[in-house]
Amino acid sequence: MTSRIDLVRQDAEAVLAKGTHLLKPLANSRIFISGGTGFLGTWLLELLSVLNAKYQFNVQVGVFSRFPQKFVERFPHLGQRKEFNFLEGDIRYLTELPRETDYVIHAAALTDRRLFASNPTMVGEVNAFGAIRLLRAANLLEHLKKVVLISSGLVYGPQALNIERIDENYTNGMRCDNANAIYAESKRFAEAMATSFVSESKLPLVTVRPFAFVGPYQSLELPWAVTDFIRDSVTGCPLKIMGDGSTVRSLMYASDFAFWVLAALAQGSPRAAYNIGSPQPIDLLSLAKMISQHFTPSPEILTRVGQSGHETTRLVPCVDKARRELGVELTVPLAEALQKTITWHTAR
Amino acid sequence: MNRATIVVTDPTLRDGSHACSHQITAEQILKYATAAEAAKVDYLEVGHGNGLGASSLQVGLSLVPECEMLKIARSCLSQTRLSVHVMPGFATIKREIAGAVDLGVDLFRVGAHCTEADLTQRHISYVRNVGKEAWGILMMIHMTSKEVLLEEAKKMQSYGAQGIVLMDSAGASFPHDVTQKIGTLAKGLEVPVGFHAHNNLGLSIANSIAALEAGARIVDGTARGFGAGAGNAPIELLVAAMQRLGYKFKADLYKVLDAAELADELFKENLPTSNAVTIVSGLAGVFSGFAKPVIRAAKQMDVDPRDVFFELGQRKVVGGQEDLILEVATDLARRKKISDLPKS
Repeated sequence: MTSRIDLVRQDAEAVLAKGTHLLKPLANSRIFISGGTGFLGTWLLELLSVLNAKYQFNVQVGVFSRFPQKFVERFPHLGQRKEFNFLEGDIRYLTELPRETDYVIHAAALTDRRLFASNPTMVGEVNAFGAIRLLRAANLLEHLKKVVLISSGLVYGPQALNIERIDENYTNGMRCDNANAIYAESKRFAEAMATSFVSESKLPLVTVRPFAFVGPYQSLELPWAVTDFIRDSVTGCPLKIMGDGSTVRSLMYASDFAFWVLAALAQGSPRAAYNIGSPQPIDLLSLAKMISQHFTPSPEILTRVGQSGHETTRLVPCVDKARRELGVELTVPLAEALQKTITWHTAR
Repeated sequence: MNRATIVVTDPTLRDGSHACSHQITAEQILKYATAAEAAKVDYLEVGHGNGLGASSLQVGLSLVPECEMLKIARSCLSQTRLSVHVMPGFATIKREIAGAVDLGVDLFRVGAHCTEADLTQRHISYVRNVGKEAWGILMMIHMTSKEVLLEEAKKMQSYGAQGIVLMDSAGASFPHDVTQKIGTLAKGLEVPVGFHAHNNLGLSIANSIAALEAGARIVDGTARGFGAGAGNAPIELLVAAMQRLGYKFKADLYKVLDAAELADELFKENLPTSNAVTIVSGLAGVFSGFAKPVIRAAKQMDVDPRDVFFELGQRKVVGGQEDLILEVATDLARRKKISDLPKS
C-alpha cells in the first residue's frame, strides 16, 4: 500500500507537471507564509518542496505558525527540509517579516466553525487584527514583489439560489448580529484593510477568495458536510443530512487549491481578487452517495434528520477570471478528489 | 394534520436513579430494558443519575457498577438504542466514554449547565470520531434566556452534536417559557431539538407538548415519571397525548402502557410524588436531583428542607454542587440557633 506521504507527493507532482511554467517568477525567491502549518499551508509546502527537489526552483520559505514544533515532529518529511525555516509566533503580535522576503502569503486565520460559536472574539482578533499586523510588516519590506491575502468566498454574503455561480463582483447583504457572523465579517474587514493599504502605500496585493475544499491533511473532526460524510463512512455510521439534500456546494481538491494560490502569487495582478474553488456544483445528497459508494457495505443515507424547514443554500464560485488571468485549470475532478481523500484517510 | 415524526427517549433507568438514591438493581434494569425494547422506544438511557462516571461518595454511589448496568441493558436491546448521559467533569473520555463505546452504547448525550456548552467540545468530538451518535444537552434552562440558549446550542452543534436537548432540570419552566425557548432553537439550529421535563410544578406534560408544538423533534419521558425530584414527564401520558395530537413515533402505545405498569411494580418504593419539597424545589429553581440529599441534610441539621431549597436557589446552585447542600443546611441551622437565643 502506498504511504500517505507518497500519495500526497504524487498529487503535488501531478499538479505541478501541468503548470510549473506559471510559477517561474517564484524561482530563487524568498517566500513568507503565515499560517504555514494549516491545511493550505501544508499543501503549499508540499508543492514548494517538489518545486525545489524536482524543478530546482531554489525557493526559501519562512513558515510562520503558532505551533511549528508540533508540525515538524508530525511531518518530518517537510519539517526537516533545509529550505523551510519555521518561525514560531502568534499573528496578532507579528511586528516584522524576514528582511529579504520577496513574496508573502497570508494564510493565518481561524477557520474552524467550532470556534466561530465558542470563541468568536478570538476569531475576530486573529483574522482581522492578524491581517493588519501582517500588512503593516509587509509594507516595510524593501524587496517585496507581491502579497497574496487569503480571504474567503463567504465575503460575498449568501448566494441567491437563482444564481448559478458567483463571480468576483457579486455582493449580497450579510447579517452581522449573531456570533457566527464573525468569520465572514473578519474576512471582509481584512479585505477592506488590505484595500486601504494598497491605496495608501501601493502595496502589491492580490486577494484570493477560497470556497470549499477536500483532501489529505483536512481534519475529519471539522463539522463540514464532506468531512462528516467521510468520517461517518469510515466509522460505519449512517450519513445524516439535516435537510432534503438539496443544498449545493462545490469542492476543489487540495493540490489544485495550493497550486492556484501559488499561481496567484506568481501571476496575479495587484489590486485584483480571484475566486478559488470548483465551479462544478454538487448537492449534498449526491455528494453523500458518491462518498458512500467507496465503502462496503455502503452506509445508509438519512435525509431530513434536522429541524423541519431547514434552509437550502448554495455556494458555487465562478472561476473564469482565475482561469483567464492566472492560467489555471481544475486538474482533479470531484470523483477523483473524493477517492484520493478517502484513500489517504484509510491508508497507514 | 401532517405532524413531524418524534424521537422518544426514555431515561427511566438514568433519571430514575436519582429517585432511589442510585440503588437501581440489576433485576430492575433487566426487566425494564426488556419492556422498553418491546415498547419500541427509540432510545433507552441507563446509568447513574448524573451520568457516566458520576457514581461517587459525593453524589451517591450506584448499587450496580456502571459497566454492569450497561451490559445488562445492552443484552436486552436490539431495536431500541442504548443511550448514556455524559457530564464532562464526571465522565472522562479515556475511561468512561471509551469504555461505554466498547460496551455498545449507541448515543452519548453530553450535557453541560445551560451557559457552559464550551465544556462539551472534546467529549462530543471524541464520540463523533469513534462513529457514535452525540447529542448536546443544556441543563437548568430556566436559568437563562432563549438567546443565550441558542448561542450555547450553536456551539454544541458546531462541535458535531446531532441533536440538542433542553432540560428543565428543576421543573421550573412554564409552557410559555418552553414555547419561546424551543421555538427559538427550532428556528435557529440545523439539528433536531428536544425537551426533557421535570414535574415539580405539575407541568411536565404541558411543557412537553408545548415543546413539540414549538418544533421539538425529540422528547424525553420516563415510566410513571420515575426520575429526580417530582419526576419527569410520564412516558405513558406523553405517548398517549402525542398519539391524540397526531404526532408520528415508533413507540407502541399499549407496550408503553405495559412498561409503565411494570414500573409501578419495579419501582413502587421510590416512584416520585409531588410534595412540599419538590414544589419548593421547582419554585426555587433548584435541580430536582437535590431532593433526597436536601431532605437528608435538613433532617441532620434540624432545619426546614424548604428553607434549604430557597437558600440553594438564592445561591443559584447547579447539578454537581451537591456538597453545598450540607453547607447551606448547616448555615441555616447556625442562623436558627442565633435567632432562638433569648434576647438580653
